[in-house]
Amino acid sequence: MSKVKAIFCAFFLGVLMVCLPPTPLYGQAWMADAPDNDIEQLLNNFFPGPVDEEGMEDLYESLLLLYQQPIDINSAGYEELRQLFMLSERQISNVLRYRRAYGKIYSIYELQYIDGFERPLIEALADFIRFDQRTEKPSGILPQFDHSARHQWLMRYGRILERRRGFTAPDTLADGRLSSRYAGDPGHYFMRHRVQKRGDYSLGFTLENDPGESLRWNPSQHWYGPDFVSAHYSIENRGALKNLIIGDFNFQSGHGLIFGPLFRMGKGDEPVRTLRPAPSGFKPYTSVYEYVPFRGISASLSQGIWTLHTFYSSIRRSSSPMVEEATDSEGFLTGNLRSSGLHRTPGELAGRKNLKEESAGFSLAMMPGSQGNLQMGIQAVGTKFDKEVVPIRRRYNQFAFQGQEQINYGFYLNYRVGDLLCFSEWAANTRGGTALLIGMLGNLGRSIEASLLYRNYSPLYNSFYGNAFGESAGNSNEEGIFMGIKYMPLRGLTLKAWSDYFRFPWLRYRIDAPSYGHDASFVMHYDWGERLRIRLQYRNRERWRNIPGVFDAPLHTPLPANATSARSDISLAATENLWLHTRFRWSRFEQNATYSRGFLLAQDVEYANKQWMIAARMAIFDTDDFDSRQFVYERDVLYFFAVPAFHRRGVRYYITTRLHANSTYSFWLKWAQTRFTDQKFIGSGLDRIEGNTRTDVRLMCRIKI
Amino acid sequence: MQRYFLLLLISLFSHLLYSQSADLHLGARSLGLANSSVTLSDEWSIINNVAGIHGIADPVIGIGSKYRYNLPELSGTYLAAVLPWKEFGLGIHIYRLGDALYSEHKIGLGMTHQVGFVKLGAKVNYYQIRAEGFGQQSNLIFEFGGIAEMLPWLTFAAHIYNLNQARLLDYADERVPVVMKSGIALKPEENLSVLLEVFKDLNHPVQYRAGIEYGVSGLCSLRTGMQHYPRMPFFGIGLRPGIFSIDYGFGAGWVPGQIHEFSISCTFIKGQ
Repeated sequence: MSKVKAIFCAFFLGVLMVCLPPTPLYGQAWMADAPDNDIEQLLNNFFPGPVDEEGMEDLYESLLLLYQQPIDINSAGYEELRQLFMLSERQISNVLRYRRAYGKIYSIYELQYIDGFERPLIEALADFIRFDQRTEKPSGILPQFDHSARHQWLMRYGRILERRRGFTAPDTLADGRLSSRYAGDPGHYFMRHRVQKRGDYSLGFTLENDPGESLRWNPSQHWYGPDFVSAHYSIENRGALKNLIIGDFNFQSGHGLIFGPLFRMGKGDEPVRTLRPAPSGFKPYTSVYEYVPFRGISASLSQGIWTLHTFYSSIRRSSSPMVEEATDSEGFLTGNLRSSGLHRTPGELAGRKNLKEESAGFSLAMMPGSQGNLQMGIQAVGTKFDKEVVPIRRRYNQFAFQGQEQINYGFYLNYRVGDLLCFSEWAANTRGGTALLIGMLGNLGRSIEASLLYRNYSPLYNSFYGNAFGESAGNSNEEGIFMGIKYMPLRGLTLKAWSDYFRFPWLRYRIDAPSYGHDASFVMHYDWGERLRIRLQYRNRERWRNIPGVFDAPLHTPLPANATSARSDISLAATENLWLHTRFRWSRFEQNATYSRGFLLAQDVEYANKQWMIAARMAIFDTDDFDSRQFVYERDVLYFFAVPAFHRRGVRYYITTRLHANSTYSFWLKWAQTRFTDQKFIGSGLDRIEGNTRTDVRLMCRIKI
Repeated sequence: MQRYFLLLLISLFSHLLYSQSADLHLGARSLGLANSSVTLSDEWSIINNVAGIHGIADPVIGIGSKYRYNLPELSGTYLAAVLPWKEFGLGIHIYRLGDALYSEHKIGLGMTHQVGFVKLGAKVNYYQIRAEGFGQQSNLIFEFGGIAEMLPWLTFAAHIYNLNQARLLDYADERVPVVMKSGIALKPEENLSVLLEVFKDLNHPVQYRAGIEYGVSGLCSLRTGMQHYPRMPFFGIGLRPGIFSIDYGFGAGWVPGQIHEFSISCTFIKGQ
């Protein structure tokens, strides 16, 4: 015992001795390759809560792009500076004010003179901004492959080593038929290729095949090799034509009631800056989330204060597996428009790409005034399906979309006054639903930022491409008030709190009555000179949920269900390259006088230098049931942002390594295993694994040309 | 029988009103801050925390009305007057809630004094409940409060209501609840105050409240607050044209309902 004690003491003493805040070096030359670790670290610091993968990838891409081609701090307007989410409203105003008063900013040292620009902020910004004016006017339609273009191939293979039921031989059922099985092999294949020059062009394609999907070539069935194929070609800044995309793209405009971003940050860790409206425009779609918003052609034209975005799209959608026989030849019954993207079993394959969706729309924006303080726009989109869409009738979807076409239209207005941004958007659809979002955010003082948002989405409102702020996905049937505050009293210390108070005027999935709810979060964040990082969070959510009852009763009884969770993340830099992370999660779920608790503790060791990175983790978890499951971020291969959830009891360990072999080739490998203590099998249905272990392996290769 | 029925009605009402503790906070400024006003020092402190009336330089008179849950039967009107006298502060307030069927009246007299950097205040209230067919019950309720301005940006305050545990009914041990609250006020910036309060009514679970008041360059004050149980956000706005002070507060709740409050006060500057 004393020997162990001695080792621990030596360890902590050693940690203490090296824990002196280091002096930062300005203008430190980073390696020409993107410091993936640092961007991931940055993202993890700003958005450490559970987030959806597809959005995280989008955000990572934007940051990576900013790193590759930094923003010119001297010519960037308010909208462009907003992309740097490290800056608060007041800091952005101060940059613009400083430029108006003193002209050009010549170097990073000059940033110190701008009010509110402390050293840690300048360090965080350093890689994403530039001071010189290296602008070459792009021209022509064809891409020019030169050294300033970013050209890379990505290939990934992943697999669960244990055999899942879907990959075993089928059983013969009583009536002689064979039971359902997955069509393909258990490997998860992914390939992406992209050539890109920020502000000029982008060309790329993505191929993906989920485990269980087979490779086939069948153009009449819209199958071109792997199950998911996506491509795009885009050009930018050709005079008045700001953007032209052919292929797959996404469109965001206003606050997302009609056209929303892939990544909706909303109620995560950060209560203020994530509510900022994303810059309007088209972006090529490069994610692997199989619900591609638009596939067709889009264009943005800009002249003076006016900007017009317009597009046409024609894409085939899959419906979810539960497809019943059509009652008559005109009708078409489908489960859910947003399917999982999985086409493995005969049932899933039957619903693959069987619905054609055509849409066309526009957004006309105006930005009067030289300072860009006022922005407004009107927008509309019309969507038409080739068959009548009829959802399977359930208790809660009385107002869900039914029909063959719909038009959404609306307008938005943003106004900046001082350090406060006031924003609003209103939208309606042709079924009679309306949605309203109105709010403000900004600085109340030097070190305090606050936000306030009111939303009211009627049950009849729905949009196929929207993704605005809300308690639930799908901006429908919700009314709520959100308030957030962020206070930075000392350097390195941030206190954040937010509260959301909402109600659902109509029934929802698993809530068989109109209901109320609230959600609140308190976070304390402390950074000490790049050596120590502490993050503590307390969160409390209450929503109603049906209590288990008679299976086919016409209505179940919903009761309030309260979930409280606490988490702590402590990161220590033992040396410059060696980090130790300790993560703790705890939660308690209570409903109807019964409660369940969950707990997780993870210890990571991470070593990274310019060439190698090795991260290893050992974690134990113990939760009473699924409601008290615990989420924890894991270091994974590049672009794979997973925050897996664990429930029941067990152990989780992984090793992730990365090697930058040279400036062209980089490799990542992750081996992870979860071992459940009390289970004889894991998962259910065709994903069921006999035994109590589940092992994931992922291998990724990146080639930069 | 009627007695018991009305008793039930009163207890139902008291659940809605959170045991008559709603009338422990008056003034639209306080409502806009989710009633986290124990640390504040203005004319409405005569009700919120009697020690707060100390230090007001000129006499102030204010009136206000509170409208709750869309029920006129639960609306209240009040008047408050504060004036300094020698080294003390004096205040009086009158309050009425309800209608002919059920009503509450309260008259309070308070006095404050400063000891070091701590302001202390005491108040005596004459409180009367009347319910039709039931008669009326009146008693004296004492309250005591203190505010300590420890640093320019940090103030601490505490208040206790119904020190004497006044009895509500003669034949049963039904008492007016004892209420204690304590809170702090932080001033991180010149025009920004953050208030935090813990409120405990003996008959109900503990309640936490937070409020923020932001002064927009001398024009108006914007207020917002949140109480944790029952969860409800609050908003308020205040204007100060000349000698008048106009405030409006709004509690945005779907359960049990919305609360609106409007108050005006007038300061009599000496020499005018």
